[in-house]
Amino acid sequence: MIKERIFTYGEHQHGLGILSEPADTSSSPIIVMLNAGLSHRAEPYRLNVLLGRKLAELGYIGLRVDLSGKGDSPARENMTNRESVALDWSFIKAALEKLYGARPILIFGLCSGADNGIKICADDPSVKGLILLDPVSRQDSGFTKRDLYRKLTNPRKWLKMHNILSRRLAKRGARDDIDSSSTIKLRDEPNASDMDLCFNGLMKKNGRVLAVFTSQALYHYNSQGQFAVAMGIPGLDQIVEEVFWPNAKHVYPIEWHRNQLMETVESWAKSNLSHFLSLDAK
Amino acid sequence: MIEPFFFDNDQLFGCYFASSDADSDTVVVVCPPLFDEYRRTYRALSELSVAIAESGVHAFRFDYYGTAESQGLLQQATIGQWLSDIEKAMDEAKAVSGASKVVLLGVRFGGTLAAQVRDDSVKTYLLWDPVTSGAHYQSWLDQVDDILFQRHRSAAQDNNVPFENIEYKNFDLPAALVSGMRELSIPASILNDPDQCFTVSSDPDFCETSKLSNCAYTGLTYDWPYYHDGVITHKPVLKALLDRLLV
Repeated sequence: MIKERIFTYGEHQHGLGILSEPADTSSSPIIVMLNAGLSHRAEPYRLNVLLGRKLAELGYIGLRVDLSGKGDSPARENMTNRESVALDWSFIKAALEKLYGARPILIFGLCSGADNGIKICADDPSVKGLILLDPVSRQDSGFTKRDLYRKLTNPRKWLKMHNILSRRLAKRGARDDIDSSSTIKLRDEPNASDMDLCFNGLMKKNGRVLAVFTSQALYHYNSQGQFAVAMGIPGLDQIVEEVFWPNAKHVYPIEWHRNQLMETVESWAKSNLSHFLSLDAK
Repeated sequence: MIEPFFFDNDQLFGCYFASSDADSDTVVVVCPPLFDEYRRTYRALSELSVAIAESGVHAFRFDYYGTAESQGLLQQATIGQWLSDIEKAMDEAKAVSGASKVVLLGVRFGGTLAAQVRDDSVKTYLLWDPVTSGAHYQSWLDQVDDILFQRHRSAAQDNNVPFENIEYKNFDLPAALVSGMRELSIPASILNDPDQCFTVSSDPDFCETSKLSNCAYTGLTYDWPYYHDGVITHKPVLKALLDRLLV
């Protein structure tokens, strides 16, 4: 039987989250679920609530939390996203330590949640695991060839070639406008240093990663296993489990896909629970 | 200051926003929209609740059973349960605020649900783009599923990946809930009564076609009827609702 209670953090305890706790929390690792884009802590499609409760049933403490400016947490003034997230994290972590003491922490995030998770992991040794939905991925040496093959063998592209060329020519003049309004450009992605620090750090900490890629990632990811290979860190593939679902969409609007995702995360979390319990919390 | 808590034996989640005027005798109970519309309006309703409290009226938001932070699954929800949830939320809001008068602020299908509630403490219904016909809303939900199917099929073709033979449903709703939703509509006696009800619409034609005198179009339009990812923080709507509340 799990329990749920309110979680607050921040200078004035205005930051808000919900804890899902197993019956016995004495040694549970903590999974912190970050906001996906501008959505509030429960979303998309209540995924974080349902998953948080399932993870609590497995023995994890699940925290879904609104970072400043999202959901029910007020925004911080005059800060960059990176500064605001870092400050939020310092308060969230302090509040969790006050409740439970030092514990191994995992971060779950979709899109900007994954971006923030990687940036936090780069700076925080207590983060031992990541569950990343559509994180950024470096391209490996085979990416371009696979991408070209996928396009050249696509009959729909050939049938629509005239339309594609016309559209591209029309857009060429407005290139700057397109770039500045692109979803990808609006993401505050982790930089190369964040990526190296995070994943080298996870190797040293013997951490674990689950990375799920959907059709949204096709512009930079097109083969299962690419993420670990492209990072160029020896042995990373041993701690990173990759799932590639090019049929699923970025925020999982189809219930069938959400159920599939929850089963995948649950299965990964279940098989790695004893490992996280064995890790030093520092 | 927001005060979140669970109520109704921890089955429902709510947030209370205390009025800047401690003597206020009115509390606004926000009945949120359903499904993806809740995600899209969540921040707007949070900001609206803060603004209501700062302007001197208590506010209370809550999640229906099987939605957002409340307990249960959508598959277990019924219309009867959700109407009962609104009544429990009103009781909780009055208890926590000390207010005796209630304004029910309903958004989309939340407005449809709110308009079913009859209670002496309810003084006004404020509706934001209310769903006037449950049957129409249900056909719109079916349309969302159709659009999702088409978009996934088109993306599979564009991306040159095999198309999955699965059920393309945004939410797999139980039959009883679907039929319950279909049967609901907003009674004309409430919608048309300027003393009881005020509607804010983002549909430029709604006020005119429904011949409502107690209706405002805010000058901005957006796309409720179509599947869309965008989060709505519709300031003119929030301002219109707030202005009406403070009349």
